Amino acid sequence: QQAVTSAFSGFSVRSDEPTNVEADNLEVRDQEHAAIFSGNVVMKQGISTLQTRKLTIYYYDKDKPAPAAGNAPKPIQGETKNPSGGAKPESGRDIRKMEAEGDVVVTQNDQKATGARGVFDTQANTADLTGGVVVTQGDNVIRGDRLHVNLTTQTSRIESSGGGGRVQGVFKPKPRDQAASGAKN
Amino acid sequence: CFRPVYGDVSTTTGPTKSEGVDVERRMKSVEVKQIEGRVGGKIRDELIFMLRGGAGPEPVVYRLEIKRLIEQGQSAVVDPLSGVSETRTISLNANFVLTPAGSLDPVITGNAVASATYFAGLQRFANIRAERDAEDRAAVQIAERIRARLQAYLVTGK
Amino acid sequence: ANVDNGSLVPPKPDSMKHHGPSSAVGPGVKDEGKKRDPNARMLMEAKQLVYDYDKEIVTAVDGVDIYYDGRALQADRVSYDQKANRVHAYGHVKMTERNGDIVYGDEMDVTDDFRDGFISPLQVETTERTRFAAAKGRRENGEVMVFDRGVYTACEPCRNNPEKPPLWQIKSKRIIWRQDEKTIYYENATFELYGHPIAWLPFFSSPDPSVKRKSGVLGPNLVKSSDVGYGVEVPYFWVLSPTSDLTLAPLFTQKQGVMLKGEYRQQLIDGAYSIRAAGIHQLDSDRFNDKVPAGRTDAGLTIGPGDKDDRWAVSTKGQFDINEKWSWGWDINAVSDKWVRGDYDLWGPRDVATSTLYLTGQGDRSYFELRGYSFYGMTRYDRQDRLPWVAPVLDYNYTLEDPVAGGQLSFDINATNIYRSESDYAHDRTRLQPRPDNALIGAAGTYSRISGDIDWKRRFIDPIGQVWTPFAFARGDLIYTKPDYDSSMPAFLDHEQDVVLRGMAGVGVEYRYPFIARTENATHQIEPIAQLILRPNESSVGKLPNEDAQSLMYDDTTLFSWNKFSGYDRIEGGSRANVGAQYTVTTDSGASASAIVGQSFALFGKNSFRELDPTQIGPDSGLESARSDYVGGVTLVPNENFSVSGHLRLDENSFALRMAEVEGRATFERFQANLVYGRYEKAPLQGYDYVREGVLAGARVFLTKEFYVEGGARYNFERDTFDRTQIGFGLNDIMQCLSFNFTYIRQIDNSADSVSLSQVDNKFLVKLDFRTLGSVGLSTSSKSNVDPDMFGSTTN
Repeated sequence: QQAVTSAFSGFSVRSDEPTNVEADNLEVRDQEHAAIFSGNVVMKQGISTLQTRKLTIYYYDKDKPAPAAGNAPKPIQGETKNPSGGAKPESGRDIRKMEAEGDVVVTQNDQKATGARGVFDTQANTADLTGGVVVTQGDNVIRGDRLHVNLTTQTSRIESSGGGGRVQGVFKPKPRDQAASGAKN
Repeated sequence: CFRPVYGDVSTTTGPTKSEGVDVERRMKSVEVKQIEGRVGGKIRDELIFMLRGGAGPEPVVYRLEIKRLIEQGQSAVVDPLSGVSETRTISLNANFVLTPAGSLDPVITGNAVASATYFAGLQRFANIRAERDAEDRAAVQIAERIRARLQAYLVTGK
Repeated sequence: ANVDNGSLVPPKPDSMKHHGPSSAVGPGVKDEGKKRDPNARMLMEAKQLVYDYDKEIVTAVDGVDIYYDGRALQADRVSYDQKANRVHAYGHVKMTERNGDIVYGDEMDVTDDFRDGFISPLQVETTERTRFAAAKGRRENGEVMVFDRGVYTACEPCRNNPEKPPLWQIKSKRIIWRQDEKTIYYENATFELYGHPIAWLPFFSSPDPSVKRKSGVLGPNLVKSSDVGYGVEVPYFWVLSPTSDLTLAPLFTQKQGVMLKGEYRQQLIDGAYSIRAAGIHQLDSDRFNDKVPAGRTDAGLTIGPGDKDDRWAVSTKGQFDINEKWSWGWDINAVSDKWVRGDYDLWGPRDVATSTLYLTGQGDRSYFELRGYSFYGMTRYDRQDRLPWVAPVLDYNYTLEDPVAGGQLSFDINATNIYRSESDYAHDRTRLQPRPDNALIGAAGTYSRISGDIDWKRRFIDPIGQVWTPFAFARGDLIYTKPDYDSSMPAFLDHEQDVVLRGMAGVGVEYRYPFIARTENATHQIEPIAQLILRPNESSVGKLPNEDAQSLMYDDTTLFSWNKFSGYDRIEGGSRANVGAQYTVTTDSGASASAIVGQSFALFGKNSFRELDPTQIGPDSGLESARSDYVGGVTLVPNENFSVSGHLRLDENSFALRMAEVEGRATFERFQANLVYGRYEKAPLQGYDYVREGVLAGARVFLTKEFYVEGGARYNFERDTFDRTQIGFGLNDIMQCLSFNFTYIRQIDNSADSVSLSQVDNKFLVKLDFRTLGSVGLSTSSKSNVDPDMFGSTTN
């Protein structure tokens, strides 16, 4: 029985899958140790996919060792479809943080999360999506203002932005015959 | 001061020359809605003659409806040792409403009350027929009182 | 006739008989059992939702609202374990069922379709405003709710201090509410009133409050009387079908054994009928027999049921609509003897068991009624063979809608056929012997009459406003009479068989001159009225029996009748003038008052009211002299809840009071009253050697919205005795769950036992009605019933 995992599990620090990003163009800013993909950015890592309009990836400084997170940050291979993009980021650099802006969609087989902006902090192994967040998982749909995913504990918290806002979730109880107690997904 | 309800005798303060005749015509334009039951039917027949005076139906300007007709009986004199009623009083209470044709809100509402008594005894069939007659007598009084209220409205508009 | 209008159709939902079917469609039916809607979604709303992917648990925090398959759940925090299909709710949990019942708890652990689970503490408020509470509760497959150490009540919690125990409640070790069977079971239950336990029952069940009509036991009634001893009646209501039910109410008595009582009701498409019966084989009949001292008989009348052991009463009633104009029906009553209804407090009037079969029809301007009657007299003076069989009696009247010769033409038909085997003479009640010099009020033998009556009237208004209404009428009777001779008859009626043709015709005019005046907010009308009627004399008076015109009441209601007699057996003859004046005031607010005064003059020809027929009516009516008594009537109707009217008759010379009457009624929300007083002149020829004078007054006052006191009495002046007194008080629907009534009745015992006015029957009635549980009754004497007249009965 395949464990249900969050759509973001692909970006978890523990995942050792290679990451690759496609985008219309790329701009690298070495002094900020950042690479900015823009235009139909699609980032795949393991079974998780991130689509956004603009993705900024921040690296660790080459000469500063990675924090002793105990697990090595993943190297990144990036290529741009559009030849006019900037220099390719050096592959193998470790990602410190990613920021996605504009129609952020994170999917993994039957799970999907969408929002206006997303911030992925590999160090804290968390991901935050804000701006009209909708999370769907099979037939369950949750809508809120902010999504906070903790990839170590595999929990995600959807909050309203306060001020009377409400988080709404629609769940389809799994059909269970009276006898069986557990339910197949 | 008093002036005739009908006829076209006009007094300075009274209705205009034709108003008297007009009252009779207005009385004839009142339609009395069907009332259920024997006593209701009797009240309606009496009212129709009091309004139309035997003439045929006229175009309807007002509708008179008896909303509620309650009949109750009480015995004042009862032979204590046998429980036989020696007199019995039938009282009728009719709640009526006059509504202009084509509208829903009434112009006048009212209650007419009448009572009639009959002597009773051991001959129960005679009691039943006497009660029927008492109902009829009370019905005529109800019709008179409703007609009087209508007449007041049709003449004075209140 | 005072019709005992027992209900014909299965009961409308009322607090007394709370058993009933859930309505066919069953909107109110708890449809927990309905299969869960497979594709129902669970909508969850909260300030914050946490989704644990591994454990597949969704936790909603801070003001959670869940809607699922017709139910709503609110709580401070809810965790929904999708894998195990369980919902845990914590803090201020409130679940609203599909039908509106509300379940409260602090913690709820149920399956995700809310069908099974635990709730603690558990409180349920149903849409019927009843309440369950328990330290811990369990719900099983959506249909059964189990309350451990549960409490049930139908009372509103006291607003300003909800902690106070409700007016009444049932505490029990376990309450099981089976919503599929619509029944509540209590185990080891104590019934508490004002917090004090007053009854303990090992096991007890009551129907689910939402049920309006369901089989089950109704509240018991306790009875006590000298002849029957202590008795308890336990009615069982049995729903046979949505349109029929049967109530069996065995009465277990201490001294007389068991009386079986039952009522079957059947509703059909076009009508309904019911059969009601009671029967007993008495164990100790002598208790009823030894009442009247051996030597004493009331004018030879049998008193008391004698040594009759089997006593019963049967009634059946039916009414069916043939179409919207015609309907037919029957109301048939039979009893084993005159006293069974009184002795066993059965249904129906105590003075007569009338049976009738009828066909009636009503058109736009017509009415048709065909009836048959038979009477079983139940007073001490009644002898069965003096009461008539009447079949048929037909009445038909029809008024033409269109004018004839400019006026209104209408006609009436009456046909009556009567047989009785023994003549009935009015006798002076105080001496209880028939007085041959009195009237023959019921001739033995056969009497048949067919009458036709036609009348025409037309109104003219002259230029100065005088209203002239000429009228004409004609009447014809065909009469067949075959009296059975007895020695006293010749004094009143010649007894040969005879066929008589009788007729009457008359013309007349009614003159009115109505005047009107308007004051500030009232309108006054006054109109002199004069009637002149020219007619030949009445024929064959005294040669024919008088069966349907025995009551002659001359007052302001008969002043302007063309025929002042009350039936067809007499026709007013001779020319007559009726003169009077009528005053009416009507105010804009709807109040009104009217007054009539007048007098009647016998002009020429024979004055019908001086002629004596077998019933000798006329001479004491006030119309016997050429110049009649003065008559007058006043009616005041200040508003729709209060009216009083009076009638008066004064002697034409001495102004002595001949007749006085006052009748009043009040129907305010918190005050109801009725009053009738009557004083009627002596009528020695009819056996009334004394002035008949009596007053009946009844009143009920609501001191608070719920608490009322009521009382009533009837006093007979000539006998100087209160034949009936009744006082009582009660509480209506206090805290919406309890109604209570206590009534004390003191009544002259007119059943078999008494021979004098001093024998009185005291009766105490107590009735407790616990909403949704049923009512319990106690009455300590089975003699009298609550006289509907006391508070003004409604005859139709």
